[in-house]
Amino acid sequence: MIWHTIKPFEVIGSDQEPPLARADWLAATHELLARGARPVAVFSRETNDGIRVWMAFAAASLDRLCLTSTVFAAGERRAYDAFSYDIARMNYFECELYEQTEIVPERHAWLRPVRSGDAWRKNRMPYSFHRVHGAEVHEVAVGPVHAGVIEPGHFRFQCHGEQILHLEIQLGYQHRGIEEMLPRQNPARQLVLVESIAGDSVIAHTTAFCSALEALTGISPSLREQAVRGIAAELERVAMHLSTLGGIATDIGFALPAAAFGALRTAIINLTAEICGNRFGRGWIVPGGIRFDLDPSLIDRARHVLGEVLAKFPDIEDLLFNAPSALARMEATGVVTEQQARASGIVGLAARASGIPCDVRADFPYGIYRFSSIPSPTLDSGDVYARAKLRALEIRNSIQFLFEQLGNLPTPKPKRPPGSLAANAFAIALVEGHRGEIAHVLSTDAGGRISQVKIKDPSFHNWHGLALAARENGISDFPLCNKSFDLSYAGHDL
Amino acid sequence: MVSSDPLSWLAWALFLAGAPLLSGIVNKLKARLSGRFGPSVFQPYRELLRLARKETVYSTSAGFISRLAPVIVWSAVAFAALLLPLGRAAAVSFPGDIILFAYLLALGRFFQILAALDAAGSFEGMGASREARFAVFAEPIFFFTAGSLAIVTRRYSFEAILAGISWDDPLFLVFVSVGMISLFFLMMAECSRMPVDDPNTHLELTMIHEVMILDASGIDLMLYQHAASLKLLLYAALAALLFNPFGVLGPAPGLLVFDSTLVALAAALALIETLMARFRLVLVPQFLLFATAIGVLNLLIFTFSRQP
Repeated sequence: MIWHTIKPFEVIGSDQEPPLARADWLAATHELLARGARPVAVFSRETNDGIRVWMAFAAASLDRLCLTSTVFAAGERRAYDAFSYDIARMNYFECELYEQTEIVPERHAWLRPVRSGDAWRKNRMPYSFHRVHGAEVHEVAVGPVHAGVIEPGHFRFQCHGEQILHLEIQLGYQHRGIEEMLPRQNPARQLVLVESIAGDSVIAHTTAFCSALEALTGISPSLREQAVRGIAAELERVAMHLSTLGGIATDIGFALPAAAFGALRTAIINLTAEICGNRFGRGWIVPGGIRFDLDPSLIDRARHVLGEVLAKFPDIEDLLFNAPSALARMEATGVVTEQQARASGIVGLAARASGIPCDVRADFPYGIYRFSSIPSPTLDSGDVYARAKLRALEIRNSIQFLFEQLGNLPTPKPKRPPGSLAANAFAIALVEGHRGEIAHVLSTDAGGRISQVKIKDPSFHNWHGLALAARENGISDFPLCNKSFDLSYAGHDL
Repeated sequence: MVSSDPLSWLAWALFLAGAPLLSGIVNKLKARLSGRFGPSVFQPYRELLRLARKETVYSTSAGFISRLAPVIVWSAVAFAALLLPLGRAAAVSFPGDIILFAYLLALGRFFQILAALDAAGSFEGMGASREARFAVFAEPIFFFTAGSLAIVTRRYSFEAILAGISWDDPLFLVFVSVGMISLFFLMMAECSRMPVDDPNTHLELTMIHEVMILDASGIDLMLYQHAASLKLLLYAALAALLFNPFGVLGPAPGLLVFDSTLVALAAALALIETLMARFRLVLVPQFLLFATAIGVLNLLIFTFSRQP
């Protein structure tokens, strides 16, 4: 094995492991992919020799990440033979690499900018959509401006009558340049930026960012703080899953569960606000620990709210999952087979709904999940029903976990002073958000300052899954498929 | 015949003015049933007023059809309302006006579809195709229901048919209740209510009626919206008139029964919209054929029970 295996949160010195020669790099990466490894993050950095590219993979049944890297020297032609030529799950990552570094993956079947919007298109390459030709084939373009108050994204359908033959999703309308901005900001503003990566995954993203920082300083938060972070993360998961279930009910015109799930979600996010002052958990997680702890009265309050939600949940769940009209809409709609899910590298909840166990909390336990595990069920039908039902199951599991943690919080310890960051190093943080695997890669320069940040939201993996799910379905079922994935535009576009 | 009774025309005017109220009641009940307060029952009036004050904008690809259609759609529905005997003699009535009724509404739909195609958007085209397809299945429901009533009573205008309904004949009661069921189905299908269409959705790809008027604005949109609420009241009123409340009970108690029936129908609509999910679009024709089957059943009931 010529690749390097590392643990998440391990500090890797930039010169600790020399880059591989091009041929070795290609061979090693190909071998990893052939063994079924899934890309976790691809990141690059300008060095004195040229541009160095790292690719981190997660392999099944291995609790470590596999890392391969190479250098494209300054004078050299920046090109290599695309991995996605035969491994579809590298498609997006290679597009992004090309977009950010102009390293050309040759023979890439579908090279395009994935997130940088119109500026890129105007200056370099006009975006061209795939088209299906034939009698009775028509094209429907939706967005980026939608009829409802939702995020912008462009969907181009190739339809035969009401049936979708092909869907192409073009994003980038929310591109704010977070990765470029982050290294230039002071630490306080960095945190605010990280909180804005995806407004509904504030806690997961801040936890990933802060954990990576802590890894680089070598100081980990106390057990109490890790437990509170776990509580924050699960509250976020419960709230967002409830919100998605409400959205699914809305999209099939089922008014009662739509309103009821919305009410339950409000109870949970209001609880989050009672603890940290913001309904979406902004300001709760900070480098080195947490800004708001739970005192005994808040713990009681949290138990009370969660108890109420848990008491009301089964009836509403019943309503959505036992109504024949709702089942008729959800079952066998938007199917992603296990094979498709593996081939396109889908992660998180969407992968688990297609029968692939893929949960950072179980695969690479971090923080409190190292000490108390949380069940991560899978379903195998891969349809809208599976993705909805799995959310209901996870809500129950998370609330159970919350009760355990609230009843068993470790004693607080005095704060330790923050340390300085390791110089010339990087660390990969992996966190399970409510959609799936979030990765933050933080690199430091020789002076121990953050020089580069690479962020990957699970939406980056899963948008293509939605495109696959929509095929062969009625175009009027697309909004339902979309809601069942409930992906983030902002998290993808960064 | 054109009625010379001014009260007939007054009833018609009240009918037009009251239409948005029924939509408002459905929305209010729906909100209450799902645990929300919901907007006031007069909200649809405010919406219409807001639209009337707005500027009307036409897309660059729209031709004269887009300008003509709102007026035709509204007039067709308003004219159809003239044929109903609302407490007094119908404002306009002649043998065979049930056919005129059906085809006035079809004319409105035809122009609605043309206007949708005229806007030249891919959404509107999709909506128009759905509307046209489902109309094919909805039309027999009306003819089997109204047609069998005409055969039973041997009369051919709404006014005469409805006047001929009496509560003494138990067979009529069965007949009228079955007819009400198919009219209710028709109401759901024709007025873009759940489970056929979702009037509240913001998802362009799932809409039928709403997507066809996506390009309309200002006074045009007001006319479309008012015509839609008028159509809802039209079908609800037709169902309520099957009881012949005015003929049997006299004007004042008749009005009470008539209005209560309307509210009951609104409540039934709200209940359905709260308690079930919308059908998958491909299953809508099956649902409509089911209603047609009820109409056929109605005719069979009569044919076999009246054998000498």
